[in-house]
This record gives sequence, C-alpha cells and structure tokens, in this order.
Amino acid sequence: MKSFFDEEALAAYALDQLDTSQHAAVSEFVESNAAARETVGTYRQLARLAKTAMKSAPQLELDELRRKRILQQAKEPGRKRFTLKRVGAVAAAAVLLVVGAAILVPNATQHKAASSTGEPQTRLAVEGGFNGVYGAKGVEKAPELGRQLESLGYATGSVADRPDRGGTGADVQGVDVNGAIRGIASSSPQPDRYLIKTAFVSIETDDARKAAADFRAQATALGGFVSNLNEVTDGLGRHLVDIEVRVPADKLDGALQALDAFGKVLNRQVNAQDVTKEYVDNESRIRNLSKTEERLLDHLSKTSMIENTLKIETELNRVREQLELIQGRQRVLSHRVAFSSITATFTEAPKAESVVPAQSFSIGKVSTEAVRSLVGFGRVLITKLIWVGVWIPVWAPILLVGWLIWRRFARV
Amino acid sequence: MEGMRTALLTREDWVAAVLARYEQPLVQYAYCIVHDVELARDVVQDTFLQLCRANRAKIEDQLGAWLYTVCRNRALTVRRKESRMTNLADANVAVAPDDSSAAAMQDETSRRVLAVLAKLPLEQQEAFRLKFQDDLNYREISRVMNVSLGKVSTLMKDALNALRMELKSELNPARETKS
Repeated sequence: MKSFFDEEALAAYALDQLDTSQHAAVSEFVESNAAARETVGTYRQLARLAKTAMKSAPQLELDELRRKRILQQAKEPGRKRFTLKRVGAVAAAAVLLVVGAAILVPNATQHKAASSTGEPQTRLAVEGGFNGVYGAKGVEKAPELGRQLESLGYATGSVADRPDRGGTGADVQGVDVNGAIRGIASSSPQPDRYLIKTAFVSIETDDARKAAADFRAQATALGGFVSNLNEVTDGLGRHLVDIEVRVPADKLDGALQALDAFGKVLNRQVNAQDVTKEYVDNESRIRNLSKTEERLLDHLSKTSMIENTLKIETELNRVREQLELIQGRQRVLSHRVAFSSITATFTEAPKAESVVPAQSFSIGKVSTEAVRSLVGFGRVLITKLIWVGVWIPVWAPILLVGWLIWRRFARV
Repeated sequence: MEGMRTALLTREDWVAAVLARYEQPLVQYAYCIVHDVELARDVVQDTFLQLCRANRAKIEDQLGAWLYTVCRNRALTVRRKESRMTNLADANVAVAPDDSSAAAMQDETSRRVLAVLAKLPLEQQEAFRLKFQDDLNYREISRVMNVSLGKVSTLMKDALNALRMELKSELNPARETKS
C-alpha cells in the first residue's frame, strides 16, 4: 500500500492503539483516502470477529482445589513472612549467643576455678541453649563450678546436680548469659586452641603386667579409658605390655606424672596437633549447610510441582550427606581434642640367660628324622630301578651293539 | 480492576477478586503455550501463588501485564522442561486446533477464525490472543512478550492480514467504515 501511513499504522489505528496526536493524523489520512478507509474497516471487522471467536471458545479454568490453595496462601503470606523474619532473627541471635558463650563461658569458668582452687583447668561443654539453663557435662566437680557461676553473679537461680550425666554434671538455673559473656570476655582475651595431644612413654619396670594394670586403673579413675592393649612374653619369660589409654585432655599432665612412679622412664614424647583451623572451618560449614537445608525445606513446603519436589529432595539429600559427613568429622575431632592419647610401653629389665638352650636336645626327634631320611632314600632308589627296567628295550640293544663292536676291534 | 477501588480490600479479598477476573484468560493463555490443561492449571496456580507473595503496592498499577508476564515465563519454563513444543520464537509450525474446542464451536465464522489463528506462527498467535482474548494493549503485550512495540505492531498487522485473506468473502469493510 503506497501511502503516508502503512498497514501497521492503520491496524493500530483500527484497534485504537495510537496516542492522541498519531490518532488525529491517521484519522485525517483515512478520511481522505478511500483505500485506507477500506483497510481500517476490514481490520475493525476482523477485530470484532476475533473477539467473538475468542469468546465462543470453551473457557478453561482452575479446579476448586487449586483455587482453594491460592486463597489459603493469600491469607498467610504477610503473617508468614513476618514470622519467618522473626524466627530468622531469633535463630541468628541464639546461634551467636550459643557460639559466643560456648567459647567464652568455659574459659571464664576455668579461669575462676583454677585461680580459686588451684586445680587443673577444666573445660565445660555447653548444651541446651541459654534460655535460663546452663549445662556442665563431663567435668569433675561441675556442681561446684555451677555454684561459682552463681557466686559470681552470673546465675541467679538454683544449682542442681545431675547424676544422670555420669555424676559429674550440673544444671544452673537462671544464668545471666550476657553478663557472664561480658565478664568472661574481659578475663579471657586469648582465643581457644583446639589441640590433639598424643604422648608416647617407654618405662622399664620390674613387673610390666602389674604396672600396666595399675596405670589402667589410674586412667579410669581420671575419667579415661583403655583403647588398645597388647602383651608379649619372650623366650626368657620377659613380659612386654603396650597399653594405649585416652584421658581427658586436662588430665594428660597428671597422667604422665603418674607414670614416673612405675619405674625408669626410658623415653617420653608428647606431640600436639593444632586443629583449630579445621575445627572452626567445620563449624562454619555446618552452619552454612544447616541454613541451606532449612532453605530447601522451605522451598519444598512451597512447591507443588512434582519435578521441582524431586529436584529439591535430591539436593536436600546431597546437603544432608555433606552435613552428616562434616558433623561426623567434627565429633571425631571434638573427641580427640577432649581426650588425649597416652601410649605406654612397659618392659621388664633384662634377666641372665638360661644355661639350657631354649630348644633342647631330643633322641626321639633325631631318630624320627633319620628314619624319615632312610625311607626317602629307599623311595628314590626304587624309583630309579623301575625307570631303568621299563627302558630296557631302548638301552639293551644299544649296549649289545656297542659290546659286539668293541669285541671285534679287541680281537684285531 | 482499578487500584482505587481495590486499595480498600484485604489481601485475601484482593487476590480473590484478581483470581475471579484473570483466572480463565490466564489458563487459556497458559494452555496456548504448554498445550496441556493440567500443566496450564499448574502454571496459573504458580502465578497466583507468586501474586500472594508479591508486593501488592508495586504491581497493582500494572497488574494485568504483571500476571501475564509471570504466567508466560512460568509456562515457557514448564514447556522447555516438558519439551512438548519447539522454541516459541523460532517456530513457525502450525498448531493443530484442539478437537474438543473445534467441536464446541457453534458459529461457523468463529470456527474459521480460530482455524486460521491456529495456522499462524506462534508469536502472531500469542500477540493476537493477548489482544483479542485478554484485551491487553500494545504496550502491555510488548511487556509480556518482551519484544518491542514495533514488533507487536507488525505481528498484529500480519495476523490481521492473514485473517483478511482467509475470510475475504465474509467481510464487508464498507459497512464497518460507515459504522
């Protein structure tokens, strides 16, 4: 169409999609151009037909279940988002508090306990959050430490012994956690170090088995346990006992000193492996993976598509697998940090050699060996004779021819 | 649906009103893309669930375009996953009209219009449906389809010309011009 306004403009005009100025210009053009007028008329008629056709097509709609779900969701989002925000903020604050307190409270308690009682420093394991309850586990005289917290003004409530935790735990009600953290922070500027301590000691003693048994009893009394035991007796009846025990890390020095009493220390070696970085990294990865898991669970609860559900569940499994791996490694690390290993080798002093050799002379044994040798010789001899007899057809003619030839030359 | 009137509604009432207004056209629109009624319903359900989570103040002024855009994106994602059709932008393959729809057609002209529409390239079909089925203007269509205004204008002109060629005998432009 050869005109100032092309068909696109005329279509837009017919469908009333032009702004006022464009509309006026096209309108003027259409008024003056019969072909354009006809095109616009056709477009308008087609538009009307199209609308009618669209309306006459069967209408698809949502089913009642989906409609209800949408309306149900419409009731919730505002409240839900608010709740999620609140829960997120509270959870983040709780995590910060727990982590901070887990690092600082034990240090402060150790510091106070050590300074006031002169006992070796003790680690406290914190559990159960800090909403008024402080838990001390795996610690000797934990109730006393709890009462110290109370006396320092960090706990306002009662102190209860917890024999169900091996007789060494305590719960302290009404702990002022923030106060404890502030007070403790000023007294423990050094960050925690996570060390895996391993000791090897060789001891010469009169009675290795008794020494090993006594050492074992001492380790158990210190809250430790035996993880490996190996006993050897040599030809002279000397005993050698290897025993590996795990004792609480803070009891390592005491246990090593106790070993001096068992005899002459031939060798002593103490190693410390610093795993602080790995420990902290694992903590961080556990936190991140836990958050990822929460987010995936959140998505899972919202999605309705089976495909999405399957994908989220696959990802969720992967995250949980990683989380469990790291948590497992973290538990191992924690245990190895909490319990130091001592490998003690108890040997007995060398004794005078016996006059009689270890393997003594025996007539019966010699006779038996001689008879066995004779029987063996007889077997070999008979075997050879059988072979010679069977091969007669081969060697006898050769021998005969050889003898005849020799006899003729001998005559000559 | 004017913002002034709906501003006083609670979120639930507002969503219910939007649902009543846009449910059918959106399912129809999603169906044209995914070609499966249940998938189309899923798509529209997701669209409305997203509406429930959306900031009402931000989208209310352009609600129609927003809904169609979300619905289209979701439908295209679903369609890609389902691999039921080729890429919309590249495809020029005619789509066979739905048998049940055709059977339900009472008006012969309407049936022919839909038959012609079904033979159009998919982009033209989509623009055409958004205009005549869902009453969106060119600007809204360009936003929903993520194309320029000029492209929408071209698509619409081409679709109308294709219809004009097929329905030549039934058209009476003179009467329309006078009216």
